[in-house]
Amino acid sequence: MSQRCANYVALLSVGLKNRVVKNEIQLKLPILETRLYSLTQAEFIDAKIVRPDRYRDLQSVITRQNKIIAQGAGLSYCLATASRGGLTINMRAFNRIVEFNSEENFIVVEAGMSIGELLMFLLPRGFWFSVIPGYPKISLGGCLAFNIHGKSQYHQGLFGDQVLGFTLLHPQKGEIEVAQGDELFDLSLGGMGLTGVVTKIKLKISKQNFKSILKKRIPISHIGHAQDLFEKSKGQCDQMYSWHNLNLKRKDFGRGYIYLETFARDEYRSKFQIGKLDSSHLLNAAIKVLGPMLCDFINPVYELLEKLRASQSKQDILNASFPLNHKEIYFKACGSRRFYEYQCIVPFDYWYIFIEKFSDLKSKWDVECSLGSLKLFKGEQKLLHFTMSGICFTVDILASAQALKFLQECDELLLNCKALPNISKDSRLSAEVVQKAYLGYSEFKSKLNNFDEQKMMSSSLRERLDV
Amino acid sequence: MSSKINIDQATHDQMITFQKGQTPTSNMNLPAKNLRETSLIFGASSGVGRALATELASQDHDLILIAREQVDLIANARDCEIRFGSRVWTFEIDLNEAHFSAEFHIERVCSASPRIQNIFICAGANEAKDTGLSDEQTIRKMTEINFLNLALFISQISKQAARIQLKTILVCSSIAAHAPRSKNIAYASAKAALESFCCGLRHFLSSQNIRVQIYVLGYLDTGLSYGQKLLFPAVEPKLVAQKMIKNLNRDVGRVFYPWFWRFIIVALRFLPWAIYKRLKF
Repeated sequence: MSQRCANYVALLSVGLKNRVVKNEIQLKLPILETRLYSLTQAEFIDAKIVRPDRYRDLQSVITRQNKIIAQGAGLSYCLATASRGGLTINMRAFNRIVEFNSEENFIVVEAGMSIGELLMFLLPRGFWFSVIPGYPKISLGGCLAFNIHGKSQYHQGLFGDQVLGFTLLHPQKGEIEVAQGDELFDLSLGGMGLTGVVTKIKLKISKQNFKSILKKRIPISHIGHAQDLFEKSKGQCDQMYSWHNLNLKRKDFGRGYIYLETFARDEYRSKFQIGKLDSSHLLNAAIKVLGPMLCDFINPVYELLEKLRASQSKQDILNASFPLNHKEIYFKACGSRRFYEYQCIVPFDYWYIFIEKFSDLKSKWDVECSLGSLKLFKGEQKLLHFTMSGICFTVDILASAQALKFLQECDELLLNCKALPNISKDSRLSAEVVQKAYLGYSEFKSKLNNFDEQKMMSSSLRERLDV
Repeated sequence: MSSKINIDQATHDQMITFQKGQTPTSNMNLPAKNLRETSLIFGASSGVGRALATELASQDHDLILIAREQVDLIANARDCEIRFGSRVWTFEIDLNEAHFSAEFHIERVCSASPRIQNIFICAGANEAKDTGLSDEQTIRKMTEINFLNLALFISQISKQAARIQLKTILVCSSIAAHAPRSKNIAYASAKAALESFCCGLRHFLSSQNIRVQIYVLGYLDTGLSYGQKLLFPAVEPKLVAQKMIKNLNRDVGRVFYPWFWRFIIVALRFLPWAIYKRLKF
């Protein structure tokens, strides 16, 4: 890092540290009191939200409140960014680039910046960031808080693998610079935002002049066959994932497609615009009425549209990187009926048993699935990080009385198969299941409580998981 | 209370430049540095000022950013430099400082850049205490921040218009100045005074072909309006900035933004006092 940049970073730090003086600054920002829903609409809470747009205000909010939690884009599948009686700090205004070093291949950004904005900056300059969630509006702070995986964890690893360091603001401990190797580094990655408010993140970037993605689609008659196909194809592409119709029965269960994608340097220009999940009230009202009906057609319509498309295609890299962009209607339609996302990594040895039992459970409870998807994972369990070797199975289930009972039985299946549930996706996962599934649960809990003794960082998710 | 950061004077006036290996490739198509316009933004740490900085930088302007918070100024400056390759100078100036000297500050600013073609005045402040019969300190503070010191700054810098090749002075006002009410009395009065001052200045500077524009802004979507129950939708600062830049080379005079506020203000003006005094807004 050049001297000049170091000066600026130091200057920013001086400014912040000077302000870690509790109760000296009056909280002048208005507080929005609203009902905050999870993305699945399955959970809600009456929350208080504040949106500072200056460091002075951010500091005053953090130091004056007893229970706080940061919020990025507000698109969490569970209520990770609000708590009863606490204050949610929306970080949207902190979305600037602090440093860009094209020689040492890193970028420092504020945590409120979205992944879409980051890629829109990097791509024209011949750089690439590899772990990308499916929706461009998701904030980098949120990616860090859940140590998210992209389209293909097997190839790209977790978000945390690309993080070189970050800056935390804690109500009692003030500003903390965290670097790789620090205990707080691992605790904060996937720490659900409970170690403090992340203000800046230093990310690894790579010189890759990617312009397009070559996408190959392979049909698959049963979801169980995916493991063999993944194994065969993993060396032939840069990322792979699949889509499955889980509403079909017996030999057709989970019929779908496996997508193999390869990055290319050929120019392919098409317009990219970040979509809006928070669109107009009129559209929301219309979807509220029509949404429940739309849900029934999601799987057959998607399958039909895919059949009509060529099995191999080239797409603009930005549009291809965000498969959920401009498909907001899916979340709105399913949200109008409420849904649960269930995601877990199943060890390879248990894959066939898991999928057979899952199919039986689905038939037993007759629940509706609006999405099924698979990814290949590799890695080892650590704290509450969602990683281990196996197949990552994702299913969206429309809410009903049966759905909850079905999911409870799925939890048992998951534990029997030594699978790992994703805390960030499942809005009803109990502390008991998490404790049994995650070997690092107790370690995470004790480390977190040692760091944040008074539980000043507080969210509904923290309460549910009892950490 | 002003909250200055304790940093060396040497770091106050910063020109942020790229280091080796930090120049974005997009710079290659930018106009030569000496052909680029320089815009000064007073109140550039957040809201419309920050949005203006980003939009102007995206249109190849060099920037002089002024605010009382160096931390946010530097963050904005870095962002504009890295994204768009603009040259950016930052100055920490507090309109509420005890012995505000416009001359001193203008000398500092002009020593950084000899040419300042556009001046954007977005600074201002209001206080919760400014309701009903405010105390002397609040009235003085509101007047100094929102009118007196800004008027001094504009007046002093206008004296150097020819030297700095000044073309446009743009001042942000508020609808509060046009619809006085029991809340923010001192703030609204100061803004009204600033508007009046700028109208006079517009007339005076017209002979020198310098445009003076006044933007009367409605509700803005900032941290200060977030969560408040507003009668009309709040506008994104980015949209305001884009509108200002679109009109930069036109002699638009006074602009209400969003446009419907013009009609609301007219309606309020013609409202009989018997009704007006009952309004709660």
